[in-house]
Amino acid sequence: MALKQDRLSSKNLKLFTVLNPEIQDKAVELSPLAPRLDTLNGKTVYLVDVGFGGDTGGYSLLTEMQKWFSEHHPEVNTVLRRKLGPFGADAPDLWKEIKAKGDAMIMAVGH
Amino acid sequence: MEQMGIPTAPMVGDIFQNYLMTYDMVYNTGMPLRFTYLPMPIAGMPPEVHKAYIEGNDPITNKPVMTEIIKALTKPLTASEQMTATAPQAAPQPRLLDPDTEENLQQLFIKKDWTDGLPIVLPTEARVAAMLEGTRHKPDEAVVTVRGRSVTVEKVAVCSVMAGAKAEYLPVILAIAASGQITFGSTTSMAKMVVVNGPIRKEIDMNSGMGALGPFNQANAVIGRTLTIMCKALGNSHLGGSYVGSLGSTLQYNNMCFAENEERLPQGWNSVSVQMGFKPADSVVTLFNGWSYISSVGEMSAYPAHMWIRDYMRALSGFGSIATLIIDPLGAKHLKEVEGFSTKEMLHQWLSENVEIPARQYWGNGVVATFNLPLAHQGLEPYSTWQQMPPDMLIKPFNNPKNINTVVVGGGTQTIWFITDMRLVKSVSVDAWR
Repeated sequence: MALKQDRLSSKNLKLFTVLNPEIQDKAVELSPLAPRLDTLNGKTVYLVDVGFGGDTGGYSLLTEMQKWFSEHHPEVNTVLRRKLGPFGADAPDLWKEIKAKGDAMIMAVGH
Repeated sequence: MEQMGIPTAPMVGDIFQNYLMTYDMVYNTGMPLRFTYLPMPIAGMPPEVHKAYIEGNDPITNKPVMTEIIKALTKPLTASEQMTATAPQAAPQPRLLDPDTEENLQQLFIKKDWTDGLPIVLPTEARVAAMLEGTRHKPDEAVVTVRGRSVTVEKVAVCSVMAGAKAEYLPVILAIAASGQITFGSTTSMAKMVVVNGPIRKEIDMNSGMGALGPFNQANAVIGRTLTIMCKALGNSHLGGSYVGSLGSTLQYNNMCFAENEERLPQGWNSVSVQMGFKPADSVVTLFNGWSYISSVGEMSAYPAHMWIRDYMRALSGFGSIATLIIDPLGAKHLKEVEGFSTKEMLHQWLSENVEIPARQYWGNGVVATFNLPLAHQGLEPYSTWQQMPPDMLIKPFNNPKNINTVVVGGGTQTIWFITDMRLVKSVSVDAWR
């Protein structure tokens, strides 16, 4: 072990200068979150399934969540919706609807 | 929605916390989204498991999931959550690393996860300059932008040196980089395949014959390896960051890189590049993405070969009608002369019409469910009809024969073939990068 340390620090070892394969990243602009609600009571919360895992993913999970709200917080109005199209695709019509009729969104599931 | 003024509470499996809070927030969303985490797995689980997740605890915070959800929507924002700012640039990357011993540099490259774990050829200035002789393109010319990162000719040359490439391979490697397919991704551990066509194959002594998919040829091995190193170093594909493949894939070491055996294509069977619209005299590289392959194992026999291929295709997911047949020239000759498939397209059409699987098998595949169930719910055909079928009713999942491909390669010692789920992504001119 001592011999190896000496070898690495020896001035007799040839040093190499090499090019860096790494590329500089550029981080995105930071954006703030939307203001939060004081309470969910009396509010409309959209439960949105992104589509990952088909019917056994977010849709099933959010169906259970909707039942939970009905049982524990019936004063919260929940709307269960599937986001149409592939799970990574945008859904501007749905976002417009939520903006117009909803107060918050719970989205599931990322994976 | 956050930018539209609607508070959100996204949910995801707990394994992704590090990816979301580091890589994704910094390089993708720019927002400190309030994720609530659930145990894995989520997709594919029955309702009673999902009920338990909803009633249970967030595995990261150990607090009730629904408490965290409600908090995500109602707890007042912190100062950092209200911040609008220009994100600090990532640390400037120097063109040259600090001088060091060979051993230390080898360890540095591994520690930085720029390699495939194997020793590399150190990219000294002299070696990179020699590599750049392989192209007329200038070192600072942009080849492609991947994940927001601009990849130059010089960076590709650096990776080529690392992999042990010769300068004459550089046009092929630049064409691969130009395809943009220089990242690894997906929790499903996707892999790649690289097929080279045209005169470049012989110019750089690639193997399209015996053992072409094996470790028997320098050009095949090194070009394939360079793609892996580019995915790591240039494509930023790192474990725990942007790479989340659960198992990984041994195909990721070499990316199934080989040359098509154009000299032994049956008459009427065009090469992959000609099928993609190039001329036979063009040098082209074609990139595929997929997961795996199944070997026929043995030689063709009295059982009709195309039916045998059909039978094995039933084991593929059928996702996107994707299949690529990799077949020895002897097998291709048999399919043409004995079974009558005058062109590759005729074979693809027949397979499209004859591979049948039960609807439940099709929809039981998670990738199919994720991508195609939303299409079914939108009423798009054939998915809408397939989704309503009884589980045991047979469907023909390879409904688009254009997404089935065939590549002829091998040394003619066996009428053997592999059937793969590799999808043809893109063909790129190699000549453009000479």
